[in-house]
Order: sequence, then C-alpha cells, then structure tokens
Amino acid sequence: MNARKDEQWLDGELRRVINTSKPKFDAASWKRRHRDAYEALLSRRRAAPVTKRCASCGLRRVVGRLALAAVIFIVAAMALMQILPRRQPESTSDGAHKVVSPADTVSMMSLQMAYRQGGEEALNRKLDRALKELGPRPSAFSAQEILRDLES
Amino acid sequence: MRMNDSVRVGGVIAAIVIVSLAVPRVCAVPPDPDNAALLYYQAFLSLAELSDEGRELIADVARGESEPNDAVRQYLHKCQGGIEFAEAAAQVPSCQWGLRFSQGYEMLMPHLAHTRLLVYVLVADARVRAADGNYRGALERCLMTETLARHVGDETLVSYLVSISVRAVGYRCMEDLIGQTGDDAKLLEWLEAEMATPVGRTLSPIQPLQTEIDVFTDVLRMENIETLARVLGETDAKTRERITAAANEETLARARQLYVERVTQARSILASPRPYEQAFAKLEALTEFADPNDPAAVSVAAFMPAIGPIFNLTIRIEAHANAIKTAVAICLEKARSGQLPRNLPADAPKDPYSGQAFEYERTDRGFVLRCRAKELRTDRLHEYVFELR
Repeated sequence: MNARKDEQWLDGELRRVINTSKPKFDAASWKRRHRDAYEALLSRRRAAPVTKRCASCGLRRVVGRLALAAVIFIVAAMALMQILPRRQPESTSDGAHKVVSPADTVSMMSLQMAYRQGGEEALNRKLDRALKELGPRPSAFSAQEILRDLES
Repeated sequence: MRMNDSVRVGGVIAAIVIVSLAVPRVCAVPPDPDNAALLYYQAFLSLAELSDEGRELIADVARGESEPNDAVRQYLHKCQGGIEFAEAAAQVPSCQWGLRFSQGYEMLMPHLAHTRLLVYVLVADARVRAADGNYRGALERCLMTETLARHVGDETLVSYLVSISVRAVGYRCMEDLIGQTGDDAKLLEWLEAEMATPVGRTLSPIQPLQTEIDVFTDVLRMENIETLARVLGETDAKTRERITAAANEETLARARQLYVERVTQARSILASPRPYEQAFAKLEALTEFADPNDPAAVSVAAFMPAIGPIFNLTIRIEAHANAIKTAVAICLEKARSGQLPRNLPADAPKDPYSGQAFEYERTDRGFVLRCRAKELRTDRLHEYVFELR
C-alpha cells in the first residue's frame, strides 16, 4: 500500500460522510420558504433606487484608494532613496569629470586639471565655457517694476 | 523757585547741545566699498548679457583680430555700467574675493570666468577709444588691466595664471597703440610714469605654491582618498576604485613628505635670482622621479604643479612688460628728437630670457624688440613689433 492509494481511500471516505457535490441554489423554493424576507428586500430596492449621488460616492472611494496607493508608493520610494547608498559621480565617455552643478566647472580641482592637461589655452577654454554655463545674469530692473510686481 | 526751574531747563538744553556736538555724526549715506572685489562682482552683474557671437566679437576686437565695428560699439554701450564699476574697483587698493579656502581642492572660483569677460570688454573699449583718436583714454583702459591682474591676485596657482592672461591681453593692446600715439611727448611721459610707479606687491608663483602645499598635503590623506582617486584616475572609474582600495596611510605619508620637499625646493629656486636657463633646468628636474612605479611618487607626480611651464609664463609676461616699457622710452625719444634712436636707452629694462638688453631693429614701419634667447621647452623666440603712425 503506497501513499497515493491511501489518499484515494481517504477521498472515498470523505465523500461518504459529507456531501461533496457542487451546491445548487434553488431561488424559487427559497422565495417560497422565506416569503417575508423576500418581500422586505423588494420593498427596500423600490424605496432606494441607485442615484447619481451614490455613483459619485463610488467614484470618490476609487479616487481615495488611488490617492492612498500613491502616498504609499511615494513614501516607499523616499524610504528606498534614503536606504540605498548614494552613487558617486561617474566619468563620462570623453573622460571629463561628470559635473553635478555648473559651478563645479570652476572648482580649483577642475581648473587645475584643465591646466595640467592642456596648459594655458585649455584653462582659458574652460573658463570661457564656464561663463556660458554660469549665465545668464539677471537683467536690469527698475524700482517701478518691483512696485508693479508687488502691487500685482 | 521759578529761578531754579529756569536754571534746570537751561542745564538740560546745554547738556543736549554738548552731547549732540560731542557724539560723532552718523552719516546717513554709507561709504563706498573698501574692497575692490565687491565692485568687481557688481561689474560682472552689470555687464550686458551677450550672445556667444557677441562675446567672441568683443574678444576678437580686444585681441586685435577684428576692427571695432558698430556691433562692438553697441555691445560696449550696453556694458557701460560694468565698465564704470571696474573703474571704481581699480581705485580701491584692497581686493578680497571671499574664496572659501576651507573647501580645499573643491573650492569654487567663479569670479575667474567673469574676469576674462571683463578684461575683454575693457580692452575692446580701449581699441574703440583708440579708433576714435582718444589714445590717452585707450591707454588708461589698458592700465586698468594691470590693476585688475593685481586684484585677481596670486592666492592660488589658477588665480596667478589668470592674472598673467589678463596682463597679456592688456600688453598686446598697448603694443599696438604705443606707436600710434604719434609724437605726443606729454602722453608718453605720462605713460612712462604710470608704468614706472610700483603698484603694490609684484605677483609671483611663490605664494600660490605655498597654497598648493597646504591644499594638496590635505588631499594626500586617507580621509580624502576619494578626492585623490578622482584626480589620479579621472578618466577611468576602475583606476579610481583600484587607488581607493590600494591606498594606505604609510604611502600617503611618504607622498606628503616628497610633495612638500619638491614644492619647497621650487619656491626657493624661484625666490633666488639666477639666470633663466639655470632656473628652468632646476625646476624641470623637480618633476622627475626615479621610480615611476612607486605609488607615492605617482601621487606626487600627478599633483606636482607644472612648474617649468608656469615659470615660462612668468618670464614671458615679464619680457612683454619690459618690451612695452622699452618701446615707450624709444617713442619718447623719437617724440623729442624727431627720429628713432640708433640704440636703446642705456637704462632700458632687460630681456629676462638672456639677462641682456633686447635686440633692437628699426624697420620701414617702426621697430622690433626681440629677446636674445629662446624660451625653453616651447623653443619660441619672442619678439614685439611696434608700428609707428
């Protein structure tokens, strides 16, 4: 006697003790047997038809759930960003140091490296490029403009 | 009783008068800044926002590669506010840029980029003034670049290099203008006096090399290994990782010692007067290392300033300044006698490459001053051409 045969024997015993056939719902006989409950259900349906308001309640529930999901997602993402180690800046394909901010092009390190690699001309090129990056400068403005902004 | 009251009131009034006279008057209008950098920063903000083409055009005119045209005049008109701030800054002796040296090698120096634009604007304005026949005004603008260079200073090597480049732009313009002043002896006498007046300390690479020692010995430490790796393995992430993994305190301590020794030697070579060739050879030798596989030597080699080329720039700008001063003396003699002198004035400044007087050649259009020795490494023989009007 192996384990599989044991299971078949057990299935037969269970079928004998409890009814394992798929249950069928006989609505007509249920209505007959529970006439009062059926009438009550019918009267409630007539008294409270589905209204627009209820539809909007449903919509609100959906939106609420979506908002909750979004909040959970954002909180999880922020937590992940805190937990994961910050990546160091990587070098680009052309070998230049990947800058985090345009101002980094004028760091002592960056300018010294430019001079080391290409002498005075490279340093000047770097400074000219930095000027483009660091612009634009604020344009001129007048006291009248500030007053106008404050009043508006 | 009434008498006592009137005495008391009189006393109070007298006390108020005495106190108001004794307390120094608080001026309602604050004084102008006594730090030129604050005025330069305002100059940078007040320069017109130029397109790339506009900036290039101004630079070309400043370098004498393009003639001043209407577009340049319009650009310069827009930059007038900035020029006025620069004029005010040139009158202030002290200049502190407020650099954050605590940031070490990561310190930002954004003023250097804007300084280059400002110097081009000033010299382009000089060229426009000269084109309009205002030579005195043009030369005043050129002299402003000398002050600007001194203000840029030599706190760091990069500042020092930018100050040299500022002076070079001004000198190139003066080289073109001096011969055009005609026989205006008064103007040339004024220029000679202006150039002879020592204005503050002479900039040199000695001070910035001390800053280098302070900044880089700090980088050569385990706590700053990431920065060191970034410099040594700039182009390759794997090299950076290898450096970070292999570095240890013992190697870095050796590197620090070697670096301080070499840069200190460089400072003492620069500080003691010796012939150009000899000084250059000694400085170049400092950047050579016996064992190229020694990690300490590799680190030091990467951080060692390019002392030889920096020394070349120092001598080159000195030669240019001396050539300008000599040319002014020649033009002044011509203005007085009506013709170019046959020889250089006896007290004319020397060519720093050879330590001798410049070679002086009269040409059909003016004269040429030539150095008597070539610049080592670049093998260039510098000469300065002065065309007469």
